[in-house]
Amino acid sequence: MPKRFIVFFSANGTIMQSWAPTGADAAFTFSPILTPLQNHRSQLLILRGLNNEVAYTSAGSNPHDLGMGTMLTGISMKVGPSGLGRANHIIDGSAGGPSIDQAIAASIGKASRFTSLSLGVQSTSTILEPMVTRMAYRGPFDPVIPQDDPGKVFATLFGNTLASQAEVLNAQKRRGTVLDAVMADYTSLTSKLGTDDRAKLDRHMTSIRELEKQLLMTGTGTGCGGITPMAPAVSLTPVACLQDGRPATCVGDFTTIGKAQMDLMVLALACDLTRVATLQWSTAESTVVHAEIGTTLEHHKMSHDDVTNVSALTKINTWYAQQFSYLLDQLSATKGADGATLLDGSLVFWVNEMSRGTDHNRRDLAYVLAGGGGALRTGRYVTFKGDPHNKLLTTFLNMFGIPATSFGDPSYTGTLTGLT
Amino acid sequence: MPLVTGRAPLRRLTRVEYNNTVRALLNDNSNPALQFEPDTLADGFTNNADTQNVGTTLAGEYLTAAEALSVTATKDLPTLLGCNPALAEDACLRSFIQQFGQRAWRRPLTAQEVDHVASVYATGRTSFDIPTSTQMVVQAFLLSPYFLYRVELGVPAAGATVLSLTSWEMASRLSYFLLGSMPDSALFAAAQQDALRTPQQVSAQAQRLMSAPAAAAQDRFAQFFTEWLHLTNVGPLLRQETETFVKRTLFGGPGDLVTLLTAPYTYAAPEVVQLYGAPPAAADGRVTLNPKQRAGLLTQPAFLATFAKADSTDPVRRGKFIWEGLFCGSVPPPPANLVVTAPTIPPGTTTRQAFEGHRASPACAACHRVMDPIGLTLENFDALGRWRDSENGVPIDVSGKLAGTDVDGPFVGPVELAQKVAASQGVASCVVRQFFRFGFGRYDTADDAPTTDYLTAQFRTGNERVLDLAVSMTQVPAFLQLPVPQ
Repeated sequence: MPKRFIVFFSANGTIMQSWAPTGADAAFTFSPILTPLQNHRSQLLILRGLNNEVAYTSAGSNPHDLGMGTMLTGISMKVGPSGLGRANHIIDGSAGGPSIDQAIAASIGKASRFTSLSLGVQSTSTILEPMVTRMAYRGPFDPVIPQDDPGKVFATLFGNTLASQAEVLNAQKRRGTVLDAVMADYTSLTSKLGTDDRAKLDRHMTSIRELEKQLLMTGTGTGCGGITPMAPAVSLTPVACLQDGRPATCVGDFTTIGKAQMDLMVLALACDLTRVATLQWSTAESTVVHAEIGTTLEHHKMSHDDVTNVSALTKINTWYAQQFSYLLDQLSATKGADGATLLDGSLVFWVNEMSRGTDHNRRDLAYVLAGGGGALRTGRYVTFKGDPHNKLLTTFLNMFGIPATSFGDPSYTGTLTGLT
Repeated sequence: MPLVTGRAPLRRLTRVEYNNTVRALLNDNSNPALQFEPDTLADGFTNNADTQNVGTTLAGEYLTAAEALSVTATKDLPTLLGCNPALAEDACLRSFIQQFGQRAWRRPLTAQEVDHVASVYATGRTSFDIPTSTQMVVQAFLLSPYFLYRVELGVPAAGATVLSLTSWEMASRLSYFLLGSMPDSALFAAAQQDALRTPQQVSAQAQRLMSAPAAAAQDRFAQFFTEWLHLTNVGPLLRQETETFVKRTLFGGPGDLVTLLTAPYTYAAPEVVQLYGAPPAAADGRVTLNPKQRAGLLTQPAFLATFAKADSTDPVRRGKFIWEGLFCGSVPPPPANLVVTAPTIPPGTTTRQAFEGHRASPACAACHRVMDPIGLTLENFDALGRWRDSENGVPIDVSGKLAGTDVDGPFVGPVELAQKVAASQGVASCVVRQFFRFGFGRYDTADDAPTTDYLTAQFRTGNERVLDLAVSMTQVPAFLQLPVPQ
């Protein structure tokens, strides 16, 4: 059984003819896009042919919203009171239920100081359409917004660990007293509010409880597979960023920030500070200009025409495979407290909100799994014939020992056979 | 149709409001909310209550900010406390809790609440010194829902279908609406006297908050315009130009929407004046622009550059925003299976020629025949908003037409577009709706249509003066009343 769950997201679909391996099962040959992963062949399970059917029946309208909001949740989205805005993006809605990472975290995250860790690379900044900026939800209207700043991630993870024991104990005492008093305010207020407002404050209280847990569980965060936690060399400066115009100029280098985030993720897992981590590169409908590989146009714009832009889009997806490979390199080079490599004990899931950007296809999805803690038969390429992706998510739950016959939309029951 | 009270979802302080509030409450200029998770944007607005959620990250950022603010605040303890705790510690702290609490929570504390906060101090004192324990008190105030949210419970009334707000709640409503901050001392004094219960009292305070010098109100109105026009990410000098233009037009200037949409002048930094190719600013800062080229907000570089690509214009986005953001029109998304290709512009042609394909293809034409003829009339402005007569050596055709509006018909070029937009009743009504969304922190729904219709009528009768619109908005049931919680 795997001990950890990791989600790696990249956007705008892929170029299927360059992504799909040839051959089948263990006798597959790497495709151009996935070639950077060949060192990890024995640890991979490459999946094609699952459909995100919910994304076609869900509330909402914009295909990127629909892809992103159902990708990890498998359930119809909720449109808020404001309805639909620009390009029919949902203005104030939400996924319809918890995402798979949060569902798994609710079970295996209890024992670690951080129930889950949500990292981003230029994932929030100031995007006008909120649904595309988030993939993880604790529940409806309760998004888990990725942290884009490696400096802040480090401070959250290790601020306490690096302080002296006396300081930690004092802070514990102070914060415990203050937060207990504050929680009493929330509790007494919620009883006077209507349903929606009460739900809003209940979610806030859940967040305070999570903070209290982080505060108390100071015993973890040591050992760390022999690595000494070091502050990342890059950190965002939101003040300068706000004064300095467009996000692209103020969010730091995409590649450098991404690498720092992956290093921090591996560190957090090595220290057993968390067992569930997500990394969201940009947003659904990513408008990043991948200058580092010589493309000059926005990813999303180009993804609308995969004939003209086939070479650039292949390069972008290959670049993401290189980043995924780097993450797997680090996970397999680092040992957890049990002596096994982190990758051995982790289930890693590379997702995309669609399979093809040009027609916004959310069927025949291109997924890569890695690791699996012995619960996956890896080293293979498996093709499905249109099973709903809910079955994969349900299979994940079962792999983590969580009994379930469906995840998300209850009409899509069952698990996938042939993975384990 | 009677005007209805409508929804009043619980509103949390936005980043801007948090910074303004701690500045007023603690005289702290550190702007801690710049470090917070960004507010979720709802069609550009940062304050839509239905998008506000506090996840663990933001909860942690609130804790960090409260700790830092409390440490700064207790550096000069006697000034903060207003008494000497070394002499009569218990009495001193209780008076501080009462007085500071009333400002932090924007209402008097009940006796139980005073005891509750005092117990934080007492617990603190079993382990810590006076300053540290006082910090814990300040933190307890700043992390409370009564500080972070604008709690409105109303005046209890048995069997009522709507509730009236307490004067304390009204003080905050007015203040956050018009200043984006906590009530000032005059509003607090009025609340203390329970003198914010009649429409006249509310209107008088609204007018006072917007009268000179009204720096905070000026910032608030500039914020409305930049959020409505999606100018959040444009370069600072360009945004500043539009902000200054809005402030000077509304405060001490003509004050009306038509001027905002048609003025052949602006207030800009020298770098921006150069971009205009205009003569330097006059002594009062005004820059006179070529009236054949420039007319108000839609011809300012901030708007033109926001709705452009880095290196070329984007007539579809310009046209689409004017259609959606100013006419409140809707554009369906492209058909899901449509293969969308942005045209490339071959040498010797103009952007307009490249976009003709949109209207040749029936699938595209359904929407683009509305958006493109608007956006293409702004083709005289390049991606940065500089004037141009030709593109790739070909003269630019800026003829266009409006369809589906109350000012339909053909026109030529940006200035005529601006004049049509300024003359449109539909635009006036749309601006009212946008201002409603900003003012109430939520979208307007069908229930609110009588209210926005009424406000539009008032707005038009009053020569579309924006500050008067703000006063009118304080006089409708949606502002003066609360729905009963459900």
